[in-house]
Amino acid sequence: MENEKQFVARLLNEKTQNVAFQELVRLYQKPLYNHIRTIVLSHDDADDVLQNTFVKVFQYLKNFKGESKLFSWMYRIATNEAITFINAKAKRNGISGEALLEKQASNLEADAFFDGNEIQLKLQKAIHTLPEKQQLVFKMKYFEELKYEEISEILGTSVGALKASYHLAVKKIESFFEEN
Amino acid sequence: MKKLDLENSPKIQSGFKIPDNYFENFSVPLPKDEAKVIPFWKQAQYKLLTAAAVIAFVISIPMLNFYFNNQQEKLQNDIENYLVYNSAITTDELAEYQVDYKENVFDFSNINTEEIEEQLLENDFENYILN
Repeated sequence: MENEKQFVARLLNEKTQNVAFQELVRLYQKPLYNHIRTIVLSHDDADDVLQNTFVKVFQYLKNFKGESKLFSWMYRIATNEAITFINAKAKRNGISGEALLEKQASNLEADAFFDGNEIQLKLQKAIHTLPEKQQLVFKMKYFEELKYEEISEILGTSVGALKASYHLAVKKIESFFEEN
Repeated sequence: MKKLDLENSPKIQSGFKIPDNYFENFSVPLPKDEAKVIPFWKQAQYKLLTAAAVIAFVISIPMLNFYFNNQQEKLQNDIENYLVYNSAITTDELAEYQVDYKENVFDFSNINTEEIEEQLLENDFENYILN
């Protein structure tokens, strides 16, 4: 299989970029969708953000220096896009991004694309009482099962800080379950 | 109720559902880099603005030069006027001036008379004395 450098070269070449880009979409649509969905919660929002993410990836590809993995770079764009989307939506509603997600999490039962049981619903509610950074770390570690090193590359935070953040998030969620 | 232990109990899934065939139907239209078309009138406007800026710059050079020269002349006049008409020179300033003056004045008491004679013999000062 071709290496990442060759793949990026194909993406930048006008003659091959069309096919290479469709390949990129096919390869990364599922992990990126799951990542975005865990952040924005709603399927429709995740769909919008995923589209925007791929468009941004294409636009900024010529700036990709290869210092990080293509995967981490795309995850970083997806994370930024998702957070920007949530904040813009929250602003339109006159509330903070955290408040908007907490509200959406408490209304998940009404979402046609959520079929979680009581425990799953409670977990979503518990996650959305956490500060934004802890939510992100918890979702990436617990649901997406990313390694600390990968999360560190995506979020630009040290592994030690991520471990502390995750540990705190777990404790808070367990306490939420105890209290509710 | 049993205490939740997230690290050791079986993983709780997110509970999110994805519409059927979502990924099969998902596509992203490739964004095209469209060349920007600048209307003719806008191009002409840019050219006119550039030409006007260049002309303004060229005209401003002699004007600035004239202005700065005038400023310098005015400053010189001010200094001269100050020296001529200003009588409010303090005694300290005067004393300072005198000290400087003394340092620069040639002290005739140190001249060796033999050296004067030697100079007079070597150079013909007659003309100066007579005229």
